[in-house]
Amino acid sequence: MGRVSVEGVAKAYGPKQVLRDLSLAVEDGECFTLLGPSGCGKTVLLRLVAGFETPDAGEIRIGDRLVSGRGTHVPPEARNLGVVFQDYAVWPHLTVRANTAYPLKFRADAAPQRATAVQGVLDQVGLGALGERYPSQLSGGQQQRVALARALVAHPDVLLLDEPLSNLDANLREEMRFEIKDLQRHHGATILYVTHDQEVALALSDRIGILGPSGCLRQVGTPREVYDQPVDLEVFRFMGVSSFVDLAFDGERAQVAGTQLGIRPEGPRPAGSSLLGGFRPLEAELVSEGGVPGIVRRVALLGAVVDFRVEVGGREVRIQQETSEVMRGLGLPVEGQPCGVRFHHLRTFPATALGGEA
Amino acid sequence: MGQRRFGTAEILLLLSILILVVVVAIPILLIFWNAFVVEGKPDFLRALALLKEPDTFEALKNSLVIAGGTTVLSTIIGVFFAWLVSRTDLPYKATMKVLFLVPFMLPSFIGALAWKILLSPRGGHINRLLMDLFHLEDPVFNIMSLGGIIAVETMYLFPFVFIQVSGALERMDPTLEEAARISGAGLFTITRRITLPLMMPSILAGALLVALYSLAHFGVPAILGTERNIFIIPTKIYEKIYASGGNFEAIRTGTMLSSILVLAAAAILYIQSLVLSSGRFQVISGKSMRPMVLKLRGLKWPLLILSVLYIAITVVLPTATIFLVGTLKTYGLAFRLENMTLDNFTYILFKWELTRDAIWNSFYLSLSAAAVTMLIGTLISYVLVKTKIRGKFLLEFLGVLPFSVPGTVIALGVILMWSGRFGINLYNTAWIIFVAYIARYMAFALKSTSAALEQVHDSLEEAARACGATKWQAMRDVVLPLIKPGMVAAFFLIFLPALRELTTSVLLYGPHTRTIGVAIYTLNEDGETVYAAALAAIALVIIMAGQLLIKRVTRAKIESA
Amino acid sequence: MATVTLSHVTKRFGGVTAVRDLDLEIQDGECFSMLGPSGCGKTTTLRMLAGFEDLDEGEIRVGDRVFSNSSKRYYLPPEKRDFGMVFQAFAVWPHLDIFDNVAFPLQIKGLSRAEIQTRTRRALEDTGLLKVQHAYPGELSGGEKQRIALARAIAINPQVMLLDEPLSNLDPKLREEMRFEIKDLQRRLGFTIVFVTHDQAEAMAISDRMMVMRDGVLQQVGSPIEIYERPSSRFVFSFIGLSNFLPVETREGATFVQGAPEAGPLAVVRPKGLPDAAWTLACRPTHIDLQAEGGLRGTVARRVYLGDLVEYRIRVGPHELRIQKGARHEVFQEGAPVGLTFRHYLGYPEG
Repeated sequence: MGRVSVEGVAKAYGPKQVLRDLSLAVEDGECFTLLGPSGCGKTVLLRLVAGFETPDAGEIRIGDRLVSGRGTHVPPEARNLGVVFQDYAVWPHLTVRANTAYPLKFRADAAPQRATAVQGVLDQVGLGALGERYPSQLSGGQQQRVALARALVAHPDVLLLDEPLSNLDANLREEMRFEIKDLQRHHGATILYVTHDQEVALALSDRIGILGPSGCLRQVGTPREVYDQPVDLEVFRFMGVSSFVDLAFDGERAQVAGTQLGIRPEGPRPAGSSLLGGFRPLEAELVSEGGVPGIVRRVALLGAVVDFRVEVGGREVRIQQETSEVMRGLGLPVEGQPCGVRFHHLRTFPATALGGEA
Repeated sequence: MGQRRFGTAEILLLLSILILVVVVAIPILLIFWNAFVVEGKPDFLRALALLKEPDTFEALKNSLVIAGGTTVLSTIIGVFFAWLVSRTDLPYKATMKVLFLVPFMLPSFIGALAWKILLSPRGGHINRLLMDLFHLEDPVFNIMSLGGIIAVETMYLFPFVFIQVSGALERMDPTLEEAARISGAGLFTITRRITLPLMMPSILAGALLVALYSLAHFGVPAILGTERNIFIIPTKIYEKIYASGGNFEAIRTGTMLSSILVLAAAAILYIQSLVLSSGRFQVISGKSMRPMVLKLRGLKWPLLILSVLYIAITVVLPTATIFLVGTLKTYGLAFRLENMTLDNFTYILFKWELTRDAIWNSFYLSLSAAAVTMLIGTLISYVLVKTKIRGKFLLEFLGVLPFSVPGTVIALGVILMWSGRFGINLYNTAWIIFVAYIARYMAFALKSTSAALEQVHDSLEEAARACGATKWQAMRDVVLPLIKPGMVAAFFLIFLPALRELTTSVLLYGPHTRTIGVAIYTLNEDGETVYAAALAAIALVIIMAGQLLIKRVTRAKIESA
Repeated sequence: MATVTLSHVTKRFGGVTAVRDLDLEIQDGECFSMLGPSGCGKTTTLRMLAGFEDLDEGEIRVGDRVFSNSSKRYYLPPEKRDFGMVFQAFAVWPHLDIFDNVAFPLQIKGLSRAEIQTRTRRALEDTGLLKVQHAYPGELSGGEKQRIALARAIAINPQVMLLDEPLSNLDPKLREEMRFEIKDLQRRLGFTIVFVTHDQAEAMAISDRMMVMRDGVLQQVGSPIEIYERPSSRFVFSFIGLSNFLPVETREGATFVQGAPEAGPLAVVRPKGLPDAAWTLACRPTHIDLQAEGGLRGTVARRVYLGDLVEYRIRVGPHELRIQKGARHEVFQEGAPVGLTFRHYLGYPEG
């Protein structure tokens, strides 16, 4: 009943084709994140599902019901959804309680039941004592909780969240991440979550769909799948800080800058083509002896980790190491000093994929 | 895009366009038509010939001199005081800032009346006092001159510049000035090379507003100039229409002068939009910090005294004069207690039909015009801000019109439209003033309600839809409550100026439809100076009470939000 | 010599003491950061240094020259201090083009046209702005605007450069890049940097030395690594990175978690110099190891996948600890029992 399926949806604004032939399905009770850079059309898809926009082509179903397409357009108020907006959209002229109670106005429930339901959901989001406050008397995080409570109070089949955390500071964002997860477990709603923040997506989702800048779906999978087994170099880069080295293969064994590696890079290896090895900052380390020769270009202590920019085989790569390890090992290297780099993990990509950038 | 039915949005758009066309567009078109079309053919030569006539040419010249002089003087005074209250350590800055805004609330034609009483060459009290004191043959001041008109207009219009510039100075990122200081520049250099250039758009915006108003103002030049044969365009139009008993030629001359006013106003507004849209001057910062303050040191108290004196002379003195003269038993008597009486006020308020009617007329006309204009303005703003339909550009264009049409022009336009030419004759009824007020104050309503609607982000309405509300329920539960403060503000923004309106109603009043402004003006014309002053005093009291009420209402709104 | 010395500097705003009795010496040519939460007094200190604020007590000297002295009521005005300064909101003048923005301080100095030309060009070159020198600030991005501000500040060859949160209006990527550029400029031109920020990572990355302030009071001065490894107080520890604080008690050589004796003893040594048997163990999330058997016993309350890292919240009695492990590490399920060992930790007095 809470399944959302989108089939062959297209949407254009004037001459700009935002979405083309997009299909995806969010399973009942799942937390599905649509992740993509700004302007990729992810918010448009959410608005299409909500019914604020009508698709130019394709069909959208919620549960078994066709809500958009084939000449049907069920208006937003009849889709049984909860929506949380980036700017919270809590009504400033109503109290927290009145904001939260609003969706129940359109239900047949009797008044006493309504009051209990409202108090219940306010307690859940930790606003039980603030029901009589006005939104202007609340912090950003609390306003976002009001929006969540309002979206959940009528037990919607599907909860749509449009970058709800991007206006909050880092600490609050982390806390709200947990709360959303808890609320979902409690209510069992299907969540379609839209964001450009890969960290939130990784932390929160059961599955992630990555939307490319041109409005087509690049990869769908669990957080671990999209992070560890990206379908291409662009997804790899989008999911986090990434560096690349040129790989040369001598039969089975891989070389970087003329040095044999102790590991076997993962990924496809078509014969005859030049390949890149991609890695994350924590997947390599500086060593005092051995390793691939490099030169330390920059050293920046960031707290828990030290961030190195190292030149390896003509490319600048980024390596991070735990501060305590560095201090108890080599000590902080000087910029310009030669060093060795040991790779723990590399993924292969065709070298052409990187384009002109180094 | 899917195919679209002819829905509610389209009906609202058409309705809005229809209202603006009938109330604003057709009257203006009629003015141009009458001015430049003779017997069905366009005829611009006659317009040129008219401009060459000595008395119209003189009026044009005076208009330019007065508008120019007032603008320059207001800009200098406005910038100086704005700088004084926002960039120096002048004592009692906050209070002074409020005081400099007081002239804004007072009707300038009442001020003109007071100054005429004080400084007219023959009978002016101050002139007589000075002549007696120094045994002079001739009066020292002559307020009934071009210079006098400029001086009085400046007293009431300089707050336009003051508000713009002091607001901009306060919003300006103080680090812009600090960066210059750390670069080695002293305060004088910073003011000249950084602060003033950055303020230029605000200064210009304020100055253009002053120009626009002084060009279209009727009251001050009518009271101080007409007697001395000093005419500007609005007073010339009035004279033409009245002196010639409404004959066709006179109306044609009036329409031509009106056309010039409309074009001048449009040009001023166009320049203003150019100035404001030049994006190089984004100097507002989010971080609020105390700006650099110039230490006045020894000049601190002299400058405060100068400011207080300025307020005393331009606000307190004329207001006191009005109240005092209003109590005299006969004009010309000395201000002694035995010559004073409160009977004038009771007579005006309760006994004399002419003044009693005028107060009543002003009251219900402003009330109904404010309410109706506010509602229509909300409707039009809603279509402009919240809907996405084709044909909106037409409404956008029509929506700009009310901003650029001076009051005199509106009056003439409604005369042409509603004197039976199209089957409806409202002439000499209150209805014609009502229709004119709607046209005249539409701009205020549009400004305030569209600002309120822009604050209501689409997601607030969409959130209600997602909660299960239909479009109408969302409008009733979310949009309307949120724009209510904007609507209330629009109401008062119209109600208060309409209460003291003169420029438009002076051309439209009939035997029983005088407004307060018209009554004061005609009493003065008829030499009933004491009654004119007494009625003016009552008007001032009503206006001040209204201002206090506004403050109360808006403050209560802010607190409850 | 441009050693900046603050002695006993105090500043009050109304009843609030913004900076209290601050003693500080910033060495010639170093990059010194002032770090602290908002309202800690770091910006006020910088503004006193710049001359925008007077002092209530104390003295500021640069080299052996007195710049501010409260008892003599002597304040060298900002325009005479010959500092370069960069502001958070860029503060570039929108009515002047890039060249004129940068040339402004030189024009004020009354240099010759030729001199202004060459020095402005050099500053523009140093900041990579030569190509856009005739554009207006309104046409440029935030990063470019901050480069204009930098160019303007270095144009007069200042000995001391004051930077007031110069990077916080930029996006993270640009922030990193600009950090390097500022460092490079300093290396080439040799000025002293005083850098104000609330971002601990930024402060540690850019500074030779830094200080941490709180409520107007200096907490600690030292190199970034000193401060990270040996925070002088619980506050500095928590401000400088992610942290866990666990109240523990050591009796007869064995240490237990307060309120959770059943979790077993911790294999830690109580640091010397703590007054009571009860103390607070402070530990970074990356400095705790997880194992199935042994160690301090706890339960996995949450597990969050962060890509490179997996973050656990481990419940130990009434306390919750935050632990980060590499994603390739052994994975523990939510609800599973788990053992903790502390690799690096510090101790602070309780409370």
